[in-house]
Amino acid sequence: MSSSERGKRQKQRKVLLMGRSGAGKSSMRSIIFSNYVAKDVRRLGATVDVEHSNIKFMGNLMLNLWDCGGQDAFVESYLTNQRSHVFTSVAVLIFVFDISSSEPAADLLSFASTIRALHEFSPNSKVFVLFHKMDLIPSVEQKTTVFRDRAAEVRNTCEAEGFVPGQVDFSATSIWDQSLYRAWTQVIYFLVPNAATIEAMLQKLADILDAKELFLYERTTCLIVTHVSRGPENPYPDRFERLSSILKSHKHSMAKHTGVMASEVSFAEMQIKTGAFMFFITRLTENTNIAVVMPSNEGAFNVARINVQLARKEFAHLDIVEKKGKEVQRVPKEDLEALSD
Amino acid sequence: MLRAIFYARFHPERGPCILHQSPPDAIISDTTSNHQQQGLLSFADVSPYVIPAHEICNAALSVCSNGLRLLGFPVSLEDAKYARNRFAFNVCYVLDDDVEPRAWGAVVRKTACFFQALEEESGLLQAGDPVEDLKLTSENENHANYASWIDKLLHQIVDDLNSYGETCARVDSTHVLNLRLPTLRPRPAPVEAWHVPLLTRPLPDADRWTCDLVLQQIRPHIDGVKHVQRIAELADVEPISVKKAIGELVYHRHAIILDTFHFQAIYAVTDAFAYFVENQDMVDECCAYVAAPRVLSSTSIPQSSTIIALYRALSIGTTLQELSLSHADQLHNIDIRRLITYGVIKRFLRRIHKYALSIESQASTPRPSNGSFATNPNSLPRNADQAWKTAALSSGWPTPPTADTAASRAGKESHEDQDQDGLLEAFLDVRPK
Amino acid sequence: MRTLFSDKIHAPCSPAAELRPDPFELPFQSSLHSSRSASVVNNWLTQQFQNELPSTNETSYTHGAPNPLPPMRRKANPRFVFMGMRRCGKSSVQKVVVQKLPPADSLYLEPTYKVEHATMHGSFLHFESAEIPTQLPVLSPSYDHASIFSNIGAVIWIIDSQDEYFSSISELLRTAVFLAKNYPSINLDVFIHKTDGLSEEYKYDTFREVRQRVQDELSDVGYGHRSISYYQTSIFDHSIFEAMSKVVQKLLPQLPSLETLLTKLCATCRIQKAYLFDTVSKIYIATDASPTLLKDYEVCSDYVDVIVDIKQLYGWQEQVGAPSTSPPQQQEQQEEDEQRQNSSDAGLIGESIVTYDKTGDGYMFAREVNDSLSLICIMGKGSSVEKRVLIDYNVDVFVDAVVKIFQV
Repeated sequence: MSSSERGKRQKQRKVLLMGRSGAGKSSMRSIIFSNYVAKDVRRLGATVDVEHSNIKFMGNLMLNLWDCGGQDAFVESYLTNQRSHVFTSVAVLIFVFDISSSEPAADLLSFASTIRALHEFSPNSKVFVLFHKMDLIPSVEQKTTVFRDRAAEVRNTCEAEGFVPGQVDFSATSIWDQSLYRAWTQVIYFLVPNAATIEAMLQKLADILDAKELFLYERTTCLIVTHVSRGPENPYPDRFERLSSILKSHKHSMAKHTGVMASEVSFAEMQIKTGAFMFFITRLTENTNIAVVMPSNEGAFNVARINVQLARKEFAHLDIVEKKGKEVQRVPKEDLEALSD
Repeated sequence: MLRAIFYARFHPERGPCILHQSPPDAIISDTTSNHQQQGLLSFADVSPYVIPAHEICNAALSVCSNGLRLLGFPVSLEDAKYARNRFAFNVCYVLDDDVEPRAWGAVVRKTACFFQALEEESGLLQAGDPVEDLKLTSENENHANYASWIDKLLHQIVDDLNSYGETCARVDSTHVLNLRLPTLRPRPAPVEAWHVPLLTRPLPDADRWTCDLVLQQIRPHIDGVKHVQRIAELADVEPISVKKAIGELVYHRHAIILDTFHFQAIYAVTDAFAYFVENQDMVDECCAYVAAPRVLSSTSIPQSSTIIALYRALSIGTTLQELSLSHADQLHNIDIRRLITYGVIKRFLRRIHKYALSIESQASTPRPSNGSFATNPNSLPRNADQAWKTAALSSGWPTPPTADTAASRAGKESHEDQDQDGLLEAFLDVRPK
Repeated sequence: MRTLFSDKIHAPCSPAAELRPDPFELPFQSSLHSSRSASVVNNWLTQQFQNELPSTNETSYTHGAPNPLPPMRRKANPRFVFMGMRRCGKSSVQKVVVQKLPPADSLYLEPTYKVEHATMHGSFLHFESAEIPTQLPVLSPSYDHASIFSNIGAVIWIIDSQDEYFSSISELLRTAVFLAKNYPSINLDVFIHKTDGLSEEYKYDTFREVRQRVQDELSDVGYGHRSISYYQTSIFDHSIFEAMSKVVQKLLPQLPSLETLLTKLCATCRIQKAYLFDTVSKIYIATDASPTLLKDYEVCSDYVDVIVDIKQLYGWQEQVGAPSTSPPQQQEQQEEDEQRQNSSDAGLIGESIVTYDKTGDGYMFAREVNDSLSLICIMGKGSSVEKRVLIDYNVDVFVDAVVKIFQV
């Protein structure tokens, strides 16, 4: 993704969620955006035509999600009558394959015609291909081979339709583990218009706090927007999606305990202190929380909590008015340095 | 006119599709193949409305497209037993778009409810579903050939509704779909307590209709003689229910309303009488009908000439009483009530009504308190009004119309005015006081 | 031995009493004194009992988890057996509770044909369980029942509430009579199982009917005095853990002391509900005396999950030669244990707080007692931030007390 692409300040980014019927599109949407738990999705009905939803991220990013029913009759109408309506100005297409499908050839055919239409109307859009229901494949080795084979097939199709390799991403997902969060975190990261600015600011903050890791996540979906790490590499590369999943289930647990809707649950602060590290999560902006991981030091920990509070207004600033990154960063730096000693 | 009818459902893999239709190929379900195919409309254009999002299911819908009107009632059933937890279908009627859709609304709704009941009670829709076995490619050929009970049902509905305006389609011994297209005629005047109902068409046998208890109760008493109040008393039913039931019979042309038979009434033949005289069948029918029951045998059936002579003897100014007195010998084997009724039903006889005229008085004089009737002409309307009330209650005549109706009729019936006045005077004279 | 922490108890009086004397009305001294003596009596009784009946040493009370135990001491762990009719869910319960199988996977379990043993690793309790297949004639005089019943603490009888259960009840009665005759010290607990998917009313009716019937029949044969506990359970929610907690608690001689400690702590610090969790198994070994609600337990149990999971993700740096490649997810459990072991060596005791309100009113508090035992508290209203110091201090005292109880 180039900087020019990110520079575009689109209020709304259109995200198409497509795939053949029963692939699991609405299920993943419900889990990520509507606080469903995995075992509840079997109660969902089939999507009729297109269901639209708008999700606000980081103030200036509005996801305009089109959940497109995958029945043949609908797909045909997307490709004919509604072709320009559906495929114009698409930022991201998320195409979901059911890995356990009995008709892989038909799936691929449907994919090919979909991205042909996409290339026609939005040639610069990004395509995320999700191979869903990986939990139905028993062994780990099989999972890897199946994923590799299918990804190769799809990659060939994409290239045949004129998409360059960098435009297409592949993930294996399942609603029963955190792989779903990994895939969606990638999508969000791609969509956040000022990810570089935010990262730069977080990097500064991390340096000041002497934190091992900072990450920013959206409060409703628990999707991680971006993160910065310092120091040695964490041996768990999948930690962010796991954290999304952990935070999400905590939210459900609290909702059950307090008897409110899961969408309304949010905690003001969470701290975990152990001998090895100290960890806290707190609100950063209107829709996001920040999590800080730092070495075990009580004093530094408390200073970090205050510093994050002070940094809040700078990030809020970023939310509302688009400024050049440098201007924004200058202010907190002084503030924070004053406090950090 | 009903152009076509089709059954569409939401298929979990293929989306909305038409499974059955009548006549076949009326709706083009596939846009890509044979373009030369002639059909009424293309399903792709209307499918978002035929199977809408489940939030707006279970409500009537009407769509106009291509000069046609589509009436449907999408049904969405939610149950874990269905694939994707939902079963959505719609039975749509295709009409010309200038047809008044109100008449069809109830039919469409009832069809939808009937199908829903079939599915909920017996699971017949899912069981008779050919789609599950069909392959995608051979779709068109197959479901045209597939003759299921739904096809037969739809076919019968189209045929019957177009030919007869009603249908009685049987799926199995327990599921019968009865539909009738309501004809939108104006409601007849409300039934009053003194009206006499007469059946013009037989009601169905008692064992076939058991739903309407009122009708069941009053049915033996509807004979063209008893008035509504009397029927209510004899059948031990609330008069208001009797009025309602008879109103329905009249609306659906199963019955007509007669006046109470009265020997003071005056009847006259209309110009339709000529047609009656010409028509020998009708005269014979009349002879058989009017024969008095006690002498009912082939020999003593009244002569057609006698009947015609009797009808001709009815004239303005002659009451039935006078007629029966003057023609007593001709009437010995004739039921005079039936004679009149037959004429009224066949509309070659009409009743001559007599009305009092209200004449506006210049000053309202106070009512004489001594109890005797004033001869003052100013008080005549009041007296006449009272007289009419007495007369009406004793004879079953219609109550006097309002002043303006009387005035509007005044010109037309001016030749009767004198008679009425005279009669009124007679009434006033004979009044016991 | 008389007062374990007498000097510690008195210590806060001087600095803290001036500030806020109320919470420090010597909360632990008297209770500890009495509970210690109770505990001692208890120990003594148990020892006596063990001397008399060496085959039925049913309980463990000696676990200083920081010092790894010599292997032969493991014999004294809480042990129990699962019994019940065919397909009533014995294997599921054992696998879900002891071996941490995801409940959904239990649908695919094969029938069991021989006695299956399972041990909980890394847990504070190290409890052991065995599952006895229905077809094994354990009650017949010819069978070597001593091999099964000789050193267990409890028999858990599982009844499938979604099935016809009268045959199960008659089997249960046979077992109960057999145990009462031969092994009177073994507790009998009845799980009315698979209650998920049943309506509240039906659930309650079944529960009452089973209890009534068993109690009546037992009285008829003259064992009515023998108390049996009944629980409604399902592996798809927390009720199975709650029931297992109660079963385990009855095997703990330290329970009265722990409960008294927790109750005192709650009263002093305005804690709404406090649980002492066995971190790995998520079984609570004690709670305070206030009414226990399943939803409180659920939220605490989920909270433990959150802490354990996050610790797993970020506690890696203590490992010498941390794995450079990503660990396969299937081995999470083992990794986790290993890591906890390592991270706790750092010396600093872990604690965690979740605040839900900006005012700090009503929050949850977790505190590690040692690496496999945690104290989880749901704080009530009015325990605001400025009282934190006092709460921390009291909790410290409490933790010391607990550690010492288990070190005897």
